[in-house]
Amino acid sequence: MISRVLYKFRLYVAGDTQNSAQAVANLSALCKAHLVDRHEIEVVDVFRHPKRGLADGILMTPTLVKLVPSPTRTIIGTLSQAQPVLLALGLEAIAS
Amino acid sequence: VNQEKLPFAGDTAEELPALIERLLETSQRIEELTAGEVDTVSDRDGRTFLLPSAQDQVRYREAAKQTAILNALPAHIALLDIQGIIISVNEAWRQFASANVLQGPGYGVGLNYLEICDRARGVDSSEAHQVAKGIRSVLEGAKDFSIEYPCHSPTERRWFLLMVTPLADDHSNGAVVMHLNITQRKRAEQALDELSQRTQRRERMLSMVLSSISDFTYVFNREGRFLFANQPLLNLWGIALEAAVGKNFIELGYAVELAERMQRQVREVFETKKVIKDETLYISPTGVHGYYEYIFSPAVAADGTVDFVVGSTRDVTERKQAAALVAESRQRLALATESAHIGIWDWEVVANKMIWDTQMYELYGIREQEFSGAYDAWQKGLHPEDQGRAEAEIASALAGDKDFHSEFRVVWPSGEVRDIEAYGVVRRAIDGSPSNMIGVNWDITMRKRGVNALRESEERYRDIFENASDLIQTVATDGTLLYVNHAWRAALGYKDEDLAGLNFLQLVHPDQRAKTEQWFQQAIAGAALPLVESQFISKSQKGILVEGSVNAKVVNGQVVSLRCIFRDVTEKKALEAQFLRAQRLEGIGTLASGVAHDLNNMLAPILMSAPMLRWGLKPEQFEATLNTIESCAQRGAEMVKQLLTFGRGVEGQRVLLQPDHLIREIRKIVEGTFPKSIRVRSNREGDSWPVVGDPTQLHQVLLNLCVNARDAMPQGGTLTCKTENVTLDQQYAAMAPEAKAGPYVIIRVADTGTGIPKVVLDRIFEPFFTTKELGIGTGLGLSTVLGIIKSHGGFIKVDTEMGRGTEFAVYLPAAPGRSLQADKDDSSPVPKGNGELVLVVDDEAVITETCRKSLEKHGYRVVIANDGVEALTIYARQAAQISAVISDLEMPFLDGVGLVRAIKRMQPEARILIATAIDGSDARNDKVAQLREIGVTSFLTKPFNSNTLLLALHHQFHP
Repeated sequence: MISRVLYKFRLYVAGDTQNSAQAVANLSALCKAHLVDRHEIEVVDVFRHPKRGLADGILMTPTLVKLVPSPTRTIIGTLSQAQPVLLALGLEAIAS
Repeated sequence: VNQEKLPFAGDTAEELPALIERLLETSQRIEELTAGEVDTVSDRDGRTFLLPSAQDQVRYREAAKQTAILNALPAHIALLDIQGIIISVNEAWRQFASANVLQGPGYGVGLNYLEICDRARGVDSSEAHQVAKGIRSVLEGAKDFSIEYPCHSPTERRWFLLMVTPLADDHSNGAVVMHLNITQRKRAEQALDELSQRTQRRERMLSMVLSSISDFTYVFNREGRFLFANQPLLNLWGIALEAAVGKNFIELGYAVELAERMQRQVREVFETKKVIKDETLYISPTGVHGYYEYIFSPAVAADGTVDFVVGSTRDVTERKQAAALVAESRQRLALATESAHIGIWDWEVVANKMIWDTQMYELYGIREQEFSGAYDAWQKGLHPEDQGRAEAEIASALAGDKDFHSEFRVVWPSGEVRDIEAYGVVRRAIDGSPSNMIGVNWDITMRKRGVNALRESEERYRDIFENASDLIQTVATDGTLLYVNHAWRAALGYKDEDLAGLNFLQLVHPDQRAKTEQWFQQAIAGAALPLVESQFISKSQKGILVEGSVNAKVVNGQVVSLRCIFRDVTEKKALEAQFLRAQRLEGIGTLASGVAHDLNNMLAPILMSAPMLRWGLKPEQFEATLNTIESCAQRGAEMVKQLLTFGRGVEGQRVLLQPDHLIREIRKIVEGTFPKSIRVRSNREGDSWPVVGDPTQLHQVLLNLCVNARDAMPQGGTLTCKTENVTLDQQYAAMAPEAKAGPYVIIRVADTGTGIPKVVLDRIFEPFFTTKELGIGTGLGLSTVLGIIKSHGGFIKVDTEMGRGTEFAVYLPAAPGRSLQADKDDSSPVPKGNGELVLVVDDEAVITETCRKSLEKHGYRVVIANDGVEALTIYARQAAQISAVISDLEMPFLDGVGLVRAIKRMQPEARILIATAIDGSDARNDKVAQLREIGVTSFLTKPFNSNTLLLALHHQFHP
């Protein structure tokens, strides 16, 4: 059974620094593989919008926040380790 | 240095190393905790810090990016520090340097670029020094510096652009030096330069070529404006190329009609892309005129539209004229052969083809379709008896013995026989064999058989002569009568048999013989005399007055006989004499009342004196009374004598007399008899030349004119009688048919009366025409005057203006041999011309010819036109040479006004003299007014003397 649940992500980055760039690339690959046509990604650059980070309580970049579906999950890092990330996002069942 | 002001003075000096230690530890710990996957961290206030590893990455990437950009640039770039030392170079520089002085491990990095430039010696050293100067200026704060310089290698020519810009905008901490190889651009520029030079040269060449051909070539744009015109065309227009470019036909002075037509054709070429050929007559602003053939062709661009139109024009005036001449001569030949009934034939001998013109068919009595066009067809038409001979003659001509010239008879299909005369020439090929034979035929039937016809026609004429009512005689050159007609014989009472050997001069009245012999000799000399007079004595001794014409019969340039046609005017002359007398009596009658009054005035003192004498007077009173009587009687006698003068006969007397004396006598009568309200004036006596005439008749003339003058002034006025001497020349005589060149005396009788209306003026010399009441005038006065003046060889002119008065001018020839003074007057100096070319325009050949003679004799050159159109043609062609124009006013086709308008348009400053029979000062005349409006002020009143003409012309050149 194919789930049609929409995933909304917010990715906090710091310009085009290496780790942030990697996180953006990893998230895109993940969504392409598992969430085709049912995801939205908002990328927030903390250098440009420092107040957004403050408001959302983000202490480090890159940080990924899964907004929908609940529960909200926060993952810090480059998202390079696919399996733990999928698990954290609750996507393991779908993937397997 | 004040230690207190340093930020890290005092205790902080010990705290700082500890803090730095903690900073390093902190960042190392965060790296550990986040496994190096985090770039930034934020504190609680939202301040974001880039971690040291991420900072390194960012710096490295920026530098890599800039290096990549610099290396990607084709320019050789080096960064200099404030000293001028090369601190960095890009890839292009490295490649460049490896081939140059900067070769070495660092490609010049670390060397002082300024020193390198300063050290430069040799060919490019001046540029190098300039570069060093430029870099220093930028390092010292200048905005930028650039220079282009050649840097040729042995194998190729190269150019570089060197640009120096400050490293940073705000303060100078170094400079960027950039070399750019601009050889390509330079080459392109040079190529472009060469191309444009080549193009210019080609354009010049093309223009030269186009200008060296005599045809006109030119280019139009879409609006029909000229983009180009070659030199010949510019010369025709008389302007430079710059002035012509951008102009259209109208602006170049083309006639509106022609301009519109050509404009239309240019448009048509643009629209249809078709070539247009046409021809036109054109008169250029420089006065050249001719017939031109032109071609407008489209110049089609790459996209298929018409870019411009190219035109080419050829002057075909001569060809046209030649073609016209050929056509004309062909027409003339056709007309000649046709009217002379001459047939033309052309026989191609080898092909045996005979071509006939239409006349030939008529001569042979056949139709064109009945003629086969071969020699046999001709031969068949000949009379059988003449065939052999004619053919032999043809053969002889072909053999070259002689030209073909023959007479033969032809037989028409209708059976009619005609005589033909034939002539032909043989044309031969190069080898001498006859190629064709061309000739003519004409009908000589009439000549052959025409003797009878001639006789008939002679009889017809003889019949007319014989039965004519005029007296006709033919005489030999010695006066022997050869033929007289019936009327002649009847009038003179001679029979044919009396006439043999009779000389007609013997039949002339002795009084008339001298005069008759005179005109007889003139006629033999060749003069045609339209009016001669004589008097014959008939066989019965009766005088017969005749007048008529004499014509000479000329054979081979020799006068062989004279034919005289006379009319018997005996009765007519008698009547004329009666008329004259009657008219004179009428004149006396009008005087009678005045004379009676005067006579009474003179008789009254005599009558009154007689009783006084009877009474007895004192001696002195007695004497005075006798004197009165005597003088009164004398005046009476004189008056009677005057009257008697008028009673004399009419026979023409010819005595030498002074016109001034005539005027004195007339003045006496006029003053005695005319109302006192009329004042009489006359000129001083003794100045006039003598004339030969009949005093009585001339009295009558003057009296008639004076009486008319009196009647024209019922309210009184001034009557002027005066004489004037004048010499008329050939010029004048050419314009006034009744005048002859020579000395004349003019007697002027002028009044200040009512003037003569135009309708009346035309008829005043008619007999029996009168404006006076019935019974007062006979209408013979002026016709008598005219008759008398004519019989004196003179003429009369009238000048009248309504309300101002009338002047009659009587011209009498001055006595020959007594007019020495006349010649003296004539020799007064006349201004001469200086080779100026004068155009004389008049439709009367006599006038133009006399003008030509006078002008050429006095140093002018003359060109003649016989009407306005011809004048205009000549003027258009020779405007530059013609210095003045003398033109008649009244001419057919194009009159003086039109001509002057046209000339003034071509040459506004043209000198123009108008000759007119109208008074040129008469502004009421329409044409005169028009001429004055267009600036013509010089008029010559016709007729004029040569001197008048020369003076007026001289005045044109020296106003």
